[in-house]
Amino acid sequence: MKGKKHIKQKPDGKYPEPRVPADSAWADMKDILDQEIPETGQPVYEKIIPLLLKALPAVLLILAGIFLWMIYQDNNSDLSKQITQHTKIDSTIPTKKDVFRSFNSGAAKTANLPKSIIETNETLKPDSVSVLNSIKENFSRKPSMPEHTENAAGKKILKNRFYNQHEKKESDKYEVRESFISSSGIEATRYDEVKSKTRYEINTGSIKNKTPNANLSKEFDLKFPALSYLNSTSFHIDNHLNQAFEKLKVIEIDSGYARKPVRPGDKKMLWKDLHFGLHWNTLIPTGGNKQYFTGADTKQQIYFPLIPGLWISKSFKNKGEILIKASFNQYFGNSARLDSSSFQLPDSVRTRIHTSLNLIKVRGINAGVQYNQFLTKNWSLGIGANVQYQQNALLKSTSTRSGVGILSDSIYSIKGTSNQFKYLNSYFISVSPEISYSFGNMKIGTAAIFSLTSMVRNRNSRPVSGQVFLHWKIK
Amino acid sequence: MEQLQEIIEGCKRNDRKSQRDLYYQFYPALFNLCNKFFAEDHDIQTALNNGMMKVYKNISQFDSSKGTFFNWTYTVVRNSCLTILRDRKPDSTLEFKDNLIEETLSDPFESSEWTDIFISLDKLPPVTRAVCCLFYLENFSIKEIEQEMGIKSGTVKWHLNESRRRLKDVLIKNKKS
Repeated sequence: MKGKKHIKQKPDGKYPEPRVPADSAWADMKDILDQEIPETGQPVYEKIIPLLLKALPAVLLILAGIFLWMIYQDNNSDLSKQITQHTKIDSTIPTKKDVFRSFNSGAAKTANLPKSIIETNETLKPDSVSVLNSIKENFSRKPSMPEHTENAAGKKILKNRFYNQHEKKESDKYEVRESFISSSGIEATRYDEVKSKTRYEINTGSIKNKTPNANLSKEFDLKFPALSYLNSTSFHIDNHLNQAFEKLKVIEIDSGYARKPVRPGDKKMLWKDLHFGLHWNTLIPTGGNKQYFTGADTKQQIYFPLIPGLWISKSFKNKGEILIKASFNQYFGNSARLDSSSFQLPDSVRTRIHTSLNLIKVRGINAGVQYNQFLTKNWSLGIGANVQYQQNALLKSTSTRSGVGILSDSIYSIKGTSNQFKYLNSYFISVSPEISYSFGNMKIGTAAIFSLTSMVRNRNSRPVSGQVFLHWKIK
Repeated sequence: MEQLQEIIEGCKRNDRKSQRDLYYQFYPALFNLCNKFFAEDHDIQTALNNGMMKVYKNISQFDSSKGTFFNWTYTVVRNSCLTILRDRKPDSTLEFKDNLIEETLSDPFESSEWTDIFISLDKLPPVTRAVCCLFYLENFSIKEIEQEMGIKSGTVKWHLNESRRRLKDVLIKNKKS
């Protein structure tokens, strides 16, 4: 019997092709090796690169969300600028000329002033001063002068601009055109005729230099009573022109106007209502929680719910909020059946051995986008969509013998590279309605998670889970 | 030979690449070995990987003066197969009290190719298959099988007789050829 070809084996002998490919078998072997005798000298990049590749879809999804959101913001900003610039004023509504005329109605000078424009006050505030100065200075304003100023808080304010121009109409008459342009770009113009260009210029010069000649001042007072009043009286003037002009009748919107260049402040608006922070969530399985803290390496990981995720949000004026989040999550499979088989024992007709493979839970990177609507100051409702990339899983293998019961019952984990990962989909999508309560920088809430797609390949496994979460707002 | 030595040294350092190279190099032969004992792919892979894990863990104990590295690995993996078989030992025992007939001692697979051997083995129940495999393909004596499998010699003989009975067609075919 010695010396037979079936007994003396060689590594390079002629063998039938193995039914299980070597790659697949090695993947399982490597999993076991990583658990039993982890490689100590493995270069860091070899571990990080596969992890980054797995996380890449989630990162791309988040970036795409941010990009779309920025486009949305830019479009909204352009639309508001168009509407502001393409507004003209009906000639029948009150203009600067009407305001001046109201001053001529006797003693009640301040009483007749539109309340939305001027209020009498002995104390001048920084904003009021800037508005007053802008009117004074712009009366004979040079083109090179700045069109904005800063208030006490250092914030830039666009000034209301006041221009005057004169040109000779006849031999002894000049046409004077005075234009008032509000900070929002609305223009009100009045036309007057004056006999002497020199006298008109002196009048304007008297305001600028604050040393009016008595005669000229008197004439100026007659001609421009409102400006004279501004020059001589201490006021508190609130810049309510914008509100006043909002009441004006809009008669034309012309899309042919050139667009106003984007101001630096517009970009700041993009980040104005942007918030970000950390969040923690813990899943509440509906199918039992025996293996709640069991990790992918079958060891207990009580710290797992403490691993934080990241979120970033943008709030809107309608008390709405778009939120993008990413975290390392686990979902429970509620013991979904992955595979099963049975065979009859050779020495018995009745005895059969049944083996089954069930999914306990999956772990991986979770990314999602959701919309929250604040119902009150504290309470909000939200709805979100999430993508879970399944990176490893905890499985349970059970063997039972008919008439006897369980023969063996083992729990083990598999990674994405494992052959048995063929039972699972690489990702699944879920939706999650939620309710939350905000207090300070914290928000606590609860959600229900419904799987839209199956966790398991070739079978329909879409378990429902509950979730409790805590958000911490850093900004 | 030098290449294998480098792989062994790498395995001693717990280098994954060396372990992978070793696995790929011996995989066809070891899969074939495990396939003798088990019909199911899952069982084959479990036995093979359990055996290879023992190889990786104990590779520093390999003594080249006692034999080749392949034979050492082959033995370790075969023992892994036997361990699984021992764990699955059925409760019921059947013993063959009579002496083995002379015909049993002749090898039914003597002139068969591997494909034919596996077709024949698949006709046998698991324990009978293992005993048949150890006796005819691994050159174990009945006493050795008794020790390795943890079953009585009478049971070994019964399984051998059972394999002869079930592989009657193969024997007849071999005799004709």
